[in-house]
Amino acid sequence: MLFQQLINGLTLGSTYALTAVGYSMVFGILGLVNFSHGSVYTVGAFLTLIFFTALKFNFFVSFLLSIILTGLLGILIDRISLYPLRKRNAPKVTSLISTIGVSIFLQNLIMITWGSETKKFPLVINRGSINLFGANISTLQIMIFSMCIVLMVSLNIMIQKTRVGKAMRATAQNSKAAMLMGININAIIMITFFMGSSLASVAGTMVGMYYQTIDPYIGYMAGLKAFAAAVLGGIGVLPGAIVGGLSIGVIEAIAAGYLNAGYRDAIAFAVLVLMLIVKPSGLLGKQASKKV
Amino acid sequence: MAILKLTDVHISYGNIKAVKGINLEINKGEIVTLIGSNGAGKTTTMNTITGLLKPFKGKIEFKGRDITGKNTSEIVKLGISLAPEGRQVFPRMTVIENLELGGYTRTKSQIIETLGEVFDLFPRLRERKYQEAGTLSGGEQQMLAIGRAMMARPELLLLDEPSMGLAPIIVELVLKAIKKINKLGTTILLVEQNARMALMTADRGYLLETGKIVMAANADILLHSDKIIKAYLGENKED
Repeated sequence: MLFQQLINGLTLGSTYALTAVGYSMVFGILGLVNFSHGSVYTVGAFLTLIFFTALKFNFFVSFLLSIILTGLLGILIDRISLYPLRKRNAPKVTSLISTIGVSIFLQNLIMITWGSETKKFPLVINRGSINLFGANISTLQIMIFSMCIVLMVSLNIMIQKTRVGKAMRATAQNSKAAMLMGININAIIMITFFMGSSLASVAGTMVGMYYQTIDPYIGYMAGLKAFAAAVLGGIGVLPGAIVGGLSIGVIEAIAAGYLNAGYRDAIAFAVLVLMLIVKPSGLLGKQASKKV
Repeated sequence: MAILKLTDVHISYGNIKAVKGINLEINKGEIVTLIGSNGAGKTTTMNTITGLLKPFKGKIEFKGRDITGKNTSEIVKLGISLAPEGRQVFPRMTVIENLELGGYTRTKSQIIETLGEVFDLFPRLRERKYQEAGTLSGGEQQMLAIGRAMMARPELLLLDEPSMGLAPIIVELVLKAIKKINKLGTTILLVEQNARMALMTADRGYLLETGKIVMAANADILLHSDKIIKAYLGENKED
C-alpha cells in the first residue's frame, strides 16, 4: 500500500514538477509569478486532444504540435500582457494582475470554443502493468515519470552548461549586468516563456492521458499545486521545482491513501504552509545575501 | 579624432532632469575622468552611453557613428563595455563563468585568448577561478567586474566608481591595472567620487555639477584648481 501510493505520488508529482519549472523560470527571470501558467497547461492538453481526435493526426505529431504551439502561446502572453508593462517600468503587482487576467481569458476561451463539459482523452498508450513489491505499476506511469525526469534533467544541464543557459542564469541573477554583457534580455525572456509553456503542455497532456479525461478547469488546481511545488522547493531554483513537485505528489498520494482522498489537496497545501514557517526560502532556496 | 562624442545630451527620470545638456569628447588612447559629487549625473551619463537609459535630447557618437538610443547589446558589440557601479558581478556563478559571460558577443577561441590576458592582469582571479563570485572580497569583485568588461575586448572601457568601498591598498592595485589596460590600447572613461585619485590617473577631466559640466581641462590643471581643491579635494592632503 505504501509503495503503491509512493508510485502514484511520484507519477503525479513529476507532472507537478514539470509545471513548477515554468513558474520557477519566469519568477527567476522576471521576479513575478505568472498566474496564467495553469491555463497554459490546460491549453496544452486541449491542443493535443484536438489535433489527435478532431483532426485525426498521429498522436506523437499531435503532442509535438501542441508542445510547439503552447510554447508560442507563452511568448504571445509575454508580448501582449507583460512586455508593454515592462517597457513602462510598471510595478510588479500590475504585471501579476495582468497574468491573472490572461488566465481568466484563456479559461473562458477554451470554454467558448470547445465547451465546458469534460472531454474523454483516448487511451493512447497500452496500459499494461508490472508488479513490483506488491504494487501495480502501469507502463503509462513509468512513461510519465521517466519522461518528466529526462526533460527536467536535460533542462538543468542546458541551463548549467550551454551559452543560452548561462545567459538565462545571468539574467536571473542581475538583468542589468546581463544587458551589459551584450545579452539580449528580451530574447532570453522569450526563450524562458517558450520553454516553460511547452513543458506545461507536456505535463497537461500526460495528466490527460493518465486520467483519460480533461476539462477546462484542470489547469486551475494543477497550476496551484505546481506553484506550491515551486515555492516548497525554493522558487527560482530549478532543482527545487523538481524536489518540490515530487514531494507534493508523494505527500498528497499518501494522505489520500491513509487518511481520506478528500484531504489530499488540504494536506498538500498544509505541508507548504508548515514548510514556509520553518524555512521561508523553500527546501533548496538560498537566502539572498548582498555584499556591500 | 574623438572615439566618443556627446553633444548636448539631456537625460531625465520622469520629470526629474538628471543631466542637462552635456558636451563631452574622448580621444582614442586617453584616460578621461568624470568627477563630481553624489547626484551630479555621473552614473546616469555612463548608463546612457551604454544604452541602459535613453537621452531625451542630444546625440551620442561612437567612432563617428550615431549610437543614440541603440540597445545595450548592440552598443556592446560595437565596442563599449561598462564595469558598473557597485560591481554587479553574477553572485551565484563562478569567476570563470562571469568572465565567459563578459565575452558573450565573441567566439570561444577569442574568449580563451582574452581570458589569459585578464588572468595575467589580475592573478588573484586565476587563483579563484572556480569560486562563486558572491564569495569574493569587495576588491576581488571589483577586479572581476573590470576583467569581465575587458572580456568583450572593448575599444572604450567605462569604469563607474571602481574605488568605491575598497581599502586604499586595493584601490592602488586597481588603479595600476587601469593604467595598464590603457597602455595596452584601450580608451578609458573613469567615473569617480574620489577626485584626487581619478585626476592622478587620468589625462583629462570633466567636472560635473547637478547635471552640467562646469569645468573641463587637463587632469593636472584640475588637480591644482582652487575650485576643485576647495570642493572636492579638501585643504589638507588627508583625503
